Amino acid sequence: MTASPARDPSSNRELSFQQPGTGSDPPVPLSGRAEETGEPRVFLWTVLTLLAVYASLRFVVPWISLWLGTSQIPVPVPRFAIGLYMLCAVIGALVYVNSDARRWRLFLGPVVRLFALPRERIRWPQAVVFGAIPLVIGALAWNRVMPSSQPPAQLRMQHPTMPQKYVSLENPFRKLPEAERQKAEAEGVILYQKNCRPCHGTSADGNGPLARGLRLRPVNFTDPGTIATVVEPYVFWRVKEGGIGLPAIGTPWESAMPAWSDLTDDEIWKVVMATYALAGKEPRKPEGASP
Amino acid sequence: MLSTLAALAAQSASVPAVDEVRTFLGWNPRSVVWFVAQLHLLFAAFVLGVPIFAVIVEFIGWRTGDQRYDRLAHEFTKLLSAAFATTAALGGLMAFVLFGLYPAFAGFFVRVFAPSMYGYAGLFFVETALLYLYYNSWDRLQNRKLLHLSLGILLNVAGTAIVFIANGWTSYMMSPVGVDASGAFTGTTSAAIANPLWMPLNIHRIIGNITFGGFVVGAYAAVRYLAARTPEDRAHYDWMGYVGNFIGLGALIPLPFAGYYLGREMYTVSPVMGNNMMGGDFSWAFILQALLVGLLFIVGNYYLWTGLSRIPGAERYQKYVKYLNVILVVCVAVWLTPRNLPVTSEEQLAIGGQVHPFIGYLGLMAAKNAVINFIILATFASLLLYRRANKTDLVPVSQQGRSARVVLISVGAAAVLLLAWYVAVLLRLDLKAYNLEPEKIVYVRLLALTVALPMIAAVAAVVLALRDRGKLAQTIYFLVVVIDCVGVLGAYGFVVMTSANPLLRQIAVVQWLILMTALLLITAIDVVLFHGAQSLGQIRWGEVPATTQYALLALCVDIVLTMGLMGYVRSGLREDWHIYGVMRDTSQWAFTPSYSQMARMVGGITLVFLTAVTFLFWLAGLTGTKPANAKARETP
Repeated sequence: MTASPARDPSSNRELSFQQPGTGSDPPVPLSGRAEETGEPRVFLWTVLTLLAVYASLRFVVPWISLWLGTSQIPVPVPRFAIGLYMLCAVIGALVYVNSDARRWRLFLGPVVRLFALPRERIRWPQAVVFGAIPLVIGALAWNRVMPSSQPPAQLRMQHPTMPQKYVSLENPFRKLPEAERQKAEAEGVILYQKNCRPCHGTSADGNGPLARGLRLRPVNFTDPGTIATVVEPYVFWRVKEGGIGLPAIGTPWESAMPAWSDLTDDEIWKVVMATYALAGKEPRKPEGASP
Repeated sequence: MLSTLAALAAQSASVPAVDEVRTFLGWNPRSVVWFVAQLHLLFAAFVLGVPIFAVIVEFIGWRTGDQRYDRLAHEFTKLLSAAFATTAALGGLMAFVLFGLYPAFAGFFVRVFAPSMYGYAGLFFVETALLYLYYNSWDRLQNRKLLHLSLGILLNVAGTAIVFIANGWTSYMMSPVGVDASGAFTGTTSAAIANPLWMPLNIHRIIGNITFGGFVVGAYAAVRYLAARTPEDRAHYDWMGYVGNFIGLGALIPLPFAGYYLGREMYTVSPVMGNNMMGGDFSWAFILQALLVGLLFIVGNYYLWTGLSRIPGAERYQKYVKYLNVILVVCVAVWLTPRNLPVTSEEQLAIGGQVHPFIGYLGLMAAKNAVINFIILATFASLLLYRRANKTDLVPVSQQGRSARVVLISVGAAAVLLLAWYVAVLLRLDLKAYNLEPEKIVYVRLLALTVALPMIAAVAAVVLALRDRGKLAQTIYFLVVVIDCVGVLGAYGFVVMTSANPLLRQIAVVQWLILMTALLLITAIDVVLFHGAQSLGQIRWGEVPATTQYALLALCVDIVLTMGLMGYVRSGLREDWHIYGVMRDTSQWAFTPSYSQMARMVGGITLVFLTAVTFLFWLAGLTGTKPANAKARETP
């Protein structure tokens, strides 16, 4: 049994599809189901691909950090990232199916059949889709207006702007002879273990004994995207002024780091040096000109 | 005389003790200057970018004898003449608002740059004369093409000199030189122009202008295509749109590296400015930039893939489109990934912060550099598919005579020598100048080793191509470059950024050199490989879906938005300084505009620019050449 072609109810002419601007190419009929014509089910495959991407983000990616050893538990992918990646996937899918007229026709086929069939031919898939549309809109509206106790997600920046007074500072211990520098670093390690270890951990990996008690985990300095990407005065500023010294745009309410005003500047420089050494990282260095 | 003027400037200029800022009809002066300056820049980018490729297109038409190219170059120039006066008017307006609203800053600026300003004005006269001479003598000099092309080249020289001078002023505000502790300018005008960010900005803007010009021209062609009433006109404007997109995409390929170079030099000038750019106040602007530039690549490629439908035989290559599409989309997704994700309270608790233990790595520069290289390689592959779409029955290289061998060997040798030269540069690197300890030499040696792999691949590719295995040569070389440039050097970037971070820029240079040499050699192999090949039929210009033309329009809107966004970043990086670290803006409007303010302003500028440019192109069309069909109808 073959499906009868989709027709325009007003003129009773068969519905057809023609890419605009293609000159005298004959219109491509939209009727005829893919499974009957032996052509690929582009719409179905597109939907399945998008579902597979979504499932990977929800259920596979959380385990990658566990396999990589960068976390001890599967860490879910935030909704923002899922939305971002799904947006890319949808754009990619649409670009792909639209980049070829035949593929686009095959993709549109089920959609057009769904909307263009006369009333007497409506079947359960159409009923489900048309019934779901107001339900989805209702659910979105509900989510939009429902009171929530959650604070809104915020744009956080990696390195808030350092105050000008810190910009030109230099670590006085870096330029000392090697033996004296090592001595200062060793003193810094002692200061670190006394003051910083409870949160940032013995090896500066953010896993100190108090770390689990904090809502926001202390920074893991062994991550290449943290202290290795900033110059030393930046770390000096963060230690000296702590979370409360962050500018408003740097979300100071999202840091439990105290301002270490009871340490002298020399002690802070030593701690900074020790932190880099314990994390196995180097401070970002001002760069010379290109060769 | 110039040196005398420069000396005068050096004696009299000093930073004014009191900053003076005025409003314009009660409007925020900063926004007024921003609006006028950005609008001027957009017109200037078009006026300076288009002559570069107009002359090249005219040259191609002259050498090949194909009149279509000549007509196309003439049409490009017609658009130029329409936009030129507006550019000049906006430049004047910009100077007036700057003097009117920021008199103290403008006064100091003039004292530093006065001699160059006279030179700038003089060059503007020269450029105006050359432009109208070039345009109006088109028909008269049809039989003296060399002379006409010389006019075009001189026009470009004048235009480039103008943009170089203006870039000196702009970059000086970010990386000033020659000002002592008391605020007195002790340098010379030429030294002030040749400040550390001058050349990186020059390179970035010249390439950016070509990209911009290409996409704007593409949009013009798209509008004319959609409005065309005859097959001849449709064919012409389809082809013009293709050329516009080709120029835009072609110039877009080196643009990310030019931007990276500028960014690295900003880090060198001021690590704080660098941090603000990529990790601080402006970091989210770079996510927006990734979105916009990523879309440029995706839409540009979409245009090429859709356009395959007008090429007989192209169906053989359709199967590759899905893979290229996946590469592009995945790479753009990585490029878009921020280091700190906006998360809800529960997600923050689950992650322990805002840096995801896996996705967070995708937010770092090493990952971004790797995927940009992959995007460029995928785009290049699309261009190659397009190029070979209607060709078949290749003539073996061994039967093509000496010239084919000479081309392959000389381009291959050039690629290998270029890479070898950079290996030598790396091995002679002065680690002390990079603030690196002697033991860090191992990182440099490893980096040099990564260049050896594509060098071997290049030699192998030439040998294989000479032995009639050109397609295999291209495939192997391409894969080696992907593995090395994207995989190996991408991963190595993470190692270097934690242990020898000043070398990060060297990794980017190595990636770029490997990439560019690969593009050159693979193109050379392709040219030789398909030389003399049979054609499966002519390209059916004018027979593409209308969606391709909407894609061209989208590219134009996208590039204007990108220019506006990056204008905000470049200028905003100075924070509350007129001249970074030298002269502070003490007015109440010195704050960094928020993203929402930026979005409104850039959106408004884009609308005004596109409206103005549409009007100007319509004006140009009123006196333009008659369409092809009109001429045909007149022929008895």
